[in-house]
Amino acid sequence: MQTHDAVNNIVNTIKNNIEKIGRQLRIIEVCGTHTVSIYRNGFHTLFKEYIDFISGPGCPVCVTHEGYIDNLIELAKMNYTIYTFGDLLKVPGKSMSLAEAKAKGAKIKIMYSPVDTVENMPENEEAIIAAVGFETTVPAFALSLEKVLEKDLKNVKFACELKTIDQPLKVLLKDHIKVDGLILPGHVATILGVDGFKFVEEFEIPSVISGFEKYDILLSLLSLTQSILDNDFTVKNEYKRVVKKEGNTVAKRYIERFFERTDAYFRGLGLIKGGGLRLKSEYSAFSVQLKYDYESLSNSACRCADVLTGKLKPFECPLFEKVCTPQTPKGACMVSQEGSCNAYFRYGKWK
Amino acid sequence: MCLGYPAKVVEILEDGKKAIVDYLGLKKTINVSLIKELAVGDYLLIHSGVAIEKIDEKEAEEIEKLFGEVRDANS
Repeated sequence: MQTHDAVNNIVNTIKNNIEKIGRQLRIIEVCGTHTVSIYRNGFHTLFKEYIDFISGPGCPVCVTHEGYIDNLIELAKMNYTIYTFGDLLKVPGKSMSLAEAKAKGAKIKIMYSPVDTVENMPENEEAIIAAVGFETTVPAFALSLEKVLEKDLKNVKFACELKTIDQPLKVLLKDHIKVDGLILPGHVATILGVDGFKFVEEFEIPSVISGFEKYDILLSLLSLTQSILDNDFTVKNEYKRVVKKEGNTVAKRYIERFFERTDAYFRGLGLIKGGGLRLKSEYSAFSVQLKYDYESLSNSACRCADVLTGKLKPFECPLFEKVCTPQTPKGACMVSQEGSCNAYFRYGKWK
Repeated sequence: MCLGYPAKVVEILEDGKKAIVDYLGLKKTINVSLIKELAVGDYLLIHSGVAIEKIDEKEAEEIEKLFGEVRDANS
C-alpha cells in the first residue's frame, strides 16, 4: 500500500503542477531509451491530457543517415570485414541495409564491445569498425583505439560517424522546436556531467537529467514540472546515483586524447557544424575516409525527419504500420528499438 | 544502443583494467579503465562492454526506499 501511496502522490503532484501551469506541456525526451521507458510504462496515457511527449534526436541509430550505410557496404565490397553494433543492421541504405548485404555474402560481423572486438580480432582480417554513437559510446571506441595502438595492429580502421549531443540540441531548440521542458539523456550525462548540459540554461527552458526506470521518469517529471512552475532554468539532476556534476573525467580525457570535433550529418536535422567527432589527425592512419553526397540524402516518403523534430507523431507518417514496421523498416526511427516509431508500434496505445 | 545495465564487481583482474562482474547471475569480464578507485562489491553501469561509472549505492537505496518495491506492486 505504501508503494502505491508514494507513486500516487507523485503522479498527483505532477498533475497538480501542470494544472497550476494551466496548459498541456510539450516535453521532449532527447534520448531514445527514455522514449521506450515512457511508452513501455504507459506514461503517455497516464498523463494524456497533461503532457505531449516528443521524441528527440538522441538515438544514434535514428540520426544515422543512409549515406553512412552505403559507405559501409562499399567498404564491404572492397573485401573489408565490417564490425557493427546490431542496431545498425536493418537501417536502410540507398539500395540495401547491412543485413541485406550480409545475406548476399558481405563480411559484416556484429560486435557487442568494441574493445573485445579489437582484442579478439583475427590477424589476417582487414577490419573496419563502424563507430556510431553519442558521448556515451565514444569512450569505448577510444579504449579500442588505445588497444589497437598497444597491440600495434595495422589491420584495423574506424569508420567514424560519432555524434555530439550539444550542437544538435542547440540547433533543435533554436530553429526547430518549441517545448516547455527537456528530459536530458542520463547516459550521455554520465560521461559529460551536469556541467556538460549547462548550455541548455541559455535557452531558458527547464530541464532535468533522468535515469531510465519508471520511478526515475516520474521523479524527473516531478522535478521538471516544478521547474516550469518556478520559471527555474537550472539543469536539474535526478540521476544522482550515476551522474556527477563533472561527469566521468577519465572518460572525457580519453575522448579528448583521440577525437576532435567535426561537422556531422543528422537525419532530420541535416548537416550540423561541430555535431560530430572524428579521429585526430595524428591517428588518421586508423580512420576511413567516408564520402557523402549530402544532396541526395533524403528518403522520399519516409517522415523520420519530421518525427525527429517533433513536427509529426509517428502514426501521422503515411508509411507507419502500412509498409513501415519493425520487420520491414523504411526509416531509422522504426529500425531502432529506441526509435520513436518503433516504440509507438510496439506499445501502440495511441489508438 | 545507449542502454546501460548495472552489475556488481566480483573480481578485479591483475592489471586493474578489467574486472569480472555479476549481472543477474551472469559473469562477464568487462573493461574498467574509466573507473577510479574500484573495489570488489562496487556496482557499475556497463555500456558496450565498458564500465562508464560507479553507481552510488546510497542514492540508489534512497530511491528504492522512496518507492518500495514499485516494480512488483505494479506488475
